[in-house]
Amino acid sequence: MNSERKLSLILLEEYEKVNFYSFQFEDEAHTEFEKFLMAFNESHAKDIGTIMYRLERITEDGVFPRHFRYAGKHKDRTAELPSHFETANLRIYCICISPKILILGNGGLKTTRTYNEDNYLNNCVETLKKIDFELKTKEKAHRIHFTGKNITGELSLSIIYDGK
Amino acid sequence: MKRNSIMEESRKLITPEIKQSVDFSIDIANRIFDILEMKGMKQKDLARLLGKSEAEISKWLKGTHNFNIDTILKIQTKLDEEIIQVVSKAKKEIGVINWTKRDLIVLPKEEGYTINSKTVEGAA
Repeated sequence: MNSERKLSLILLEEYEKVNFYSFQFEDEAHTEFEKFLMAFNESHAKDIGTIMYRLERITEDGVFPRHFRYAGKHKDRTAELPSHFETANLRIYCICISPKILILGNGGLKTTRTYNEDNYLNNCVETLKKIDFELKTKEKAHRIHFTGKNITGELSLSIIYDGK
Repeated sequence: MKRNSIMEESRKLITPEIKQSVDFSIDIANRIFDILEMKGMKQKDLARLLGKSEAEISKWLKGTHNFNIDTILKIQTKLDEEIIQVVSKAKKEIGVINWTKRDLIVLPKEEGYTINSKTVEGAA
């Protein structure tokens, strides 16, 4: 059943060139990226290590397309890690807002050819697309601002979440 | 600078092998982008050279293609620039390497290879 869910953008980490954000649903204790790490740290240590090091390199280079494989249409700004070069079944999905801002979402094990074929992964991507759409709308209305590495303004938003 | 404790914990899982693998893949990607930039080429030019559609090349360079050795060799041949240089085991002595900042040189792990540090510093 469809329901509206409220969430907040949370600054996770700051670096000289890049800031990492995630989002937290109002009834939950952790952000989606923290939940992802806690779920897979022990069972998929190598994949988590690869993703974490990819993020480390992104802090040096910036949030550029070459670091990601894009999920869905490029204009959605929704992408996945690790990139096409690394071999791993674990995927994390994110929104590449700008070369200086990355919003990290949730993810999981990819056991199907495409993420669309997996309900859970598809939901992760669709959630990000909805958030991205809301962010674009708020930006146009000058209610949220992406300035340098920072997101300011209304950091709380609502999306229609199908809860699968 | 703000840090996240859960992320810090996960960072402990980064091994030297993971670093090597990720660094290597980033170097390959950067090298391809640099060659295109150096030659003043766009994705459509590479697509024409490879006999592929621009959409397919766009996928390759945007990260939806699983690169393999054949693909890399094909790009290398068509661009007439080396992407990866493998040092033969037979060559124990390495002379002056004229490398650019992002040339990728793969050295076998056996002992006995030395790189003149002055050459490295001067070239980079």
